[in-house]
Amino acid sequence: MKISFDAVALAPALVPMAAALVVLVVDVVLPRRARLPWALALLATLGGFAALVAVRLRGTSASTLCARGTDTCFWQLDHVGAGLQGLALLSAAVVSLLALAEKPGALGVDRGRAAVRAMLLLSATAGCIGVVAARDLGSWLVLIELATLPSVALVALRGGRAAAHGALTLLVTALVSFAVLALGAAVWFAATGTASMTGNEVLRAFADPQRKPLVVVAMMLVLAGIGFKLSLAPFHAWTPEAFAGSGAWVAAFLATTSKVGALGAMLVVLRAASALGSPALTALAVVAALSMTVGNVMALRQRTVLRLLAWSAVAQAGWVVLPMAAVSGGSVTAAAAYLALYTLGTLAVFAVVAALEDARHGTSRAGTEVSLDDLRGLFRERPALAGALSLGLLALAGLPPSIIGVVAKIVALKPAIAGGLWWLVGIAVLNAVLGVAVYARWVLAMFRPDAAGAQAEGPGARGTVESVDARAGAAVAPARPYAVVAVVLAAVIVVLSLAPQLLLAAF
Amino acid sequence: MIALLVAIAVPLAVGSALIAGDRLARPLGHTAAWCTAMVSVVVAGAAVVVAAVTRAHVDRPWVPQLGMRLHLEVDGVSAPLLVLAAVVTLLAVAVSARQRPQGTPGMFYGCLLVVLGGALAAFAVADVIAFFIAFEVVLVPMWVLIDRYGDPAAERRRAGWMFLLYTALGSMVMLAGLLVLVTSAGTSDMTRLAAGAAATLPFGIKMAAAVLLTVGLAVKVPLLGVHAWLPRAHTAAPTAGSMLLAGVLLKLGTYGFVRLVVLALPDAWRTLAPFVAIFAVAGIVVGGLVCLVERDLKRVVAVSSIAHMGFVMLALAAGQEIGLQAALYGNIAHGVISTLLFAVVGALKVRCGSIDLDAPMVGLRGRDPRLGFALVVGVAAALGLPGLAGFWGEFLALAAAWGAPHRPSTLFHVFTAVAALGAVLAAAYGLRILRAVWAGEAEAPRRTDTRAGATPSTVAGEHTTATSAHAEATFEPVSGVEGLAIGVLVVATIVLGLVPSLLMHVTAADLPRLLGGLS
Repeated sequence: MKISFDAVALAPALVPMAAALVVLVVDVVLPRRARLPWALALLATLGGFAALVAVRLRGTSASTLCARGTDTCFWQLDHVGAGLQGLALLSAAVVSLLALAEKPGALGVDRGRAAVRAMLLLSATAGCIGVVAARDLGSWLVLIELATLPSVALVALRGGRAAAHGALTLLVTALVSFAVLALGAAVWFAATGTASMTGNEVLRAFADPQRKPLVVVAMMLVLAGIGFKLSLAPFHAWTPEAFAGSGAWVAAFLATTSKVGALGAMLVVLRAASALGSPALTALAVVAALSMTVGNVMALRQRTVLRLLAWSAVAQAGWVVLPMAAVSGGSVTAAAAYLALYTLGTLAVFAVVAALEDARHGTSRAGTEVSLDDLRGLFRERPALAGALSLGLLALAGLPPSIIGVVAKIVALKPAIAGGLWWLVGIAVLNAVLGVAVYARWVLAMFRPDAAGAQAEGPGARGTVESVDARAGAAVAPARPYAVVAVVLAAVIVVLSLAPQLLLAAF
Repeated sequence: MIALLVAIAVPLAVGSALIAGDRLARPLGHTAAWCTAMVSVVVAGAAVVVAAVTRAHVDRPWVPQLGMRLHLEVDGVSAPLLVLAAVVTLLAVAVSARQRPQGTPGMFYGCLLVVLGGALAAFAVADVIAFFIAFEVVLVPMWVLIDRYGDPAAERRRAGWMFLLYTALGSMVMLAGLLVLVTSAGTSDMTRLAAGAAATLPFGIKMAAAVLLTVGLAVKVPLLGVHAWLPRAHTAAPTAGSMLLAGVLLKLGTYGFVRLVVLALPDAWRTLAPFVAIFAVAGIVVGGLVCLVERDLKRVVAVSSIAHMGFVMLALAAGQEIGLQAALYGNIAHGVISTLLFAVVGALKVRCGSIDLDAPMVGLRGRDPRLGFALVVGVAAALGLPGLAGFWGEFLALAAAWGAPHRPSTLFHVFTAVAALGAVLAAAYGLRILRAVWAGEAEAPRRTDTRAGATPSTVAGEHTTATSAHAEATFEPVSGVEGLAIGVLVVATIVLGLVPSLLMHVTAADLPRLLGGLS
């Protein structure tokens, strides 16, 4: 069997992969540089994005690795897939920027580790990009693990007890989910008799009454396996531990790029199974409802930002899956568009968290988590960061002024309503209100005067240096790059709020 | 067309700029922020009037993926509400010159402007999805107004949370209803929906959409049962916030009912109307009864809104042209009267604190006859005295409910009778307010605070007497911009009452066309 090969079509995945190797080579030549590997990573992700744009502009089919003489291609990229790849690359670029801005010498920033961490980030990103377009069982499985396993190492390399704990949780989860996925893939192969994931074989197998149960079992196993990656309840337990232990930018990677890859993987399966109907879709609906509810209820009680974001990731994963539970034309697009909004809002929040963590560097509170009380008075102290954080949180809550968040909620609800899933719509509506409560609580905290600030305001003095220093770190000027990233992301939210069609057109 | 865009964009842009500017190294002072706000509201108001007169119209694609267009339109239903929103905001800003916000002024006026911009957008858009988005825009700034600038004694944080969560719940349920309507009718254009785009749908779908929309909008109106946020929010909000809540935000709910339910889903509304009417009439009676026992003056004014909106909803439930006329008229009248009362109560509050109706004797008649007159006009209009604005809305609502065709007539006769009884209650609590605040001995004032009543230690007693004597000595009559604003509202109340045809002609011009599909 001859296989065609088109380097340009593969470039979005190949560029980060190659860059991962380059980073290691450069580290050999110029060892122990803290910033250089991240600059390379940033360039590579942006380069991958440029390659993706080139592929789209080329206009011809983005399929490659096709078997000559048949219409089976092992690499297929449609409009939604390209949008997801772009999202993964851009979010990885933002994460690289956050890592680049990290002060050398801060907790977990060992000069010697920078190259390894950049390499891990790039490989995981390449995995996320590849899995979106993979169309055969083998490479799909390998790429999904390529997207997962480096992130375990990323968490572990931060160092410290919490990181080890988080990495262990993540590792165990990753292994279990890999086992489930592998089992699912095996059953899938047994049922369809082919390693190709295109729709026809699955449909043929589904039509055969003897093979039908096997297909359903395979589908459930695969969905459960991906559920771990997307942190859908009830497969979400790893999320808070891993987020809390890993620091801002690693958690940002887990929360955004990783999720994009997971959704891409899920879409490959669901596309193959779109005509299967009820069993898989009912399972998705239940999982969506459960995730939203569990995530929001738990998020209501959190007191540190990373844990809030972890539970918010669980809840938002439910919103991402919600439209796919209905058989409707726009459901895949809706899921991808919602994921894009989630990524944007979450990255804005993480940029601010990274800035606040950075500001603590060198104080007695270095390395501790940013908590709800630490945000008090942020509007007074650092209005730009507070504004970006509010826009990000409100986008996740679906409240104006982040109109793009409202639009995303509408987009996500529409297929479920068109499909007549009333119970699911009811749960989603309640969760939207719960979500408002979850995120509004954090916005409110920034408006509140903080205890130290109130004292400083007291006799007309601005407070002593010690008291300012002892505060959340809000008063210590964080590195400018973080603020710039946060403000740029907030500006993107504002622009998309005025013109939501720009975001929706990408999927 | 430009006018309409200017009217919406100017308050939103200037409001956002004020909020952002509030965090500069040298934030704006009160006077600068006030002048900026005043100028932009005047600009927006002028643009609204131009748009209303020229019947401005904008229609261009916006978000094709949702089928949402940037479709703005002014007709007889929305024109009065647009003007009302602009005027109420203008007066709310004006009143704040004396009743200053406790906190940074930039954020305060910025939030007022954003509320105005969102409300104008909501009244002007002819696309239901865009209506929902505009409806949501007012939420956060209003919440900030209550939470940050409210009355600490009135549990403003709790009030803010209740406002936010109740309204968010209402709007999400409404969104579900909207999406049912939009996905099944295949269009999100209000004009096409009113022209019967949803008429051929199965009745079950129409009922589902109508029920969801009714439940969602009922929170905003509010109908009895989902009204718990209203007394708290109104009481806790600063005066300007209360004026906007009563004059602008509550109108969004009834406006949504007219556009989305009554005009778009007429036959589903016919089935639902009696149930809504039950809640409306119950609201009239319960609201009146609560007003008879409630002690805090501001709370009484707030709760009376539930009764007044009950009349509006009863008129809507009655349907037909006269019912809609009554509802739209009652809407505007309530906006004017309630705003007037909140302005007066606010003026009293800065001068002598919260007013406890059971420990009365402010003696306003003697202390400041002009403010006293404004209070009398407001209360008289609220109790539906002929010749003032409140009368026509209530009278027409009762007339519409009595003669409502296509409705169970006995039931609606009972509703009419009970609602009329509710109007009597309004007279009773109206007179209670006047006796406590307006009449009475001016030389025997007592500064009272509902919470302070429980601390009868001698020291505290002396302290209270001292402050009240102080307050008495410095009871400064309303004047300047504040007096002017209250004066405008008094004149509006009287003019609307004497010449109701002014407003009715505007709405009557478009109603038959809009009701064409209803017959």
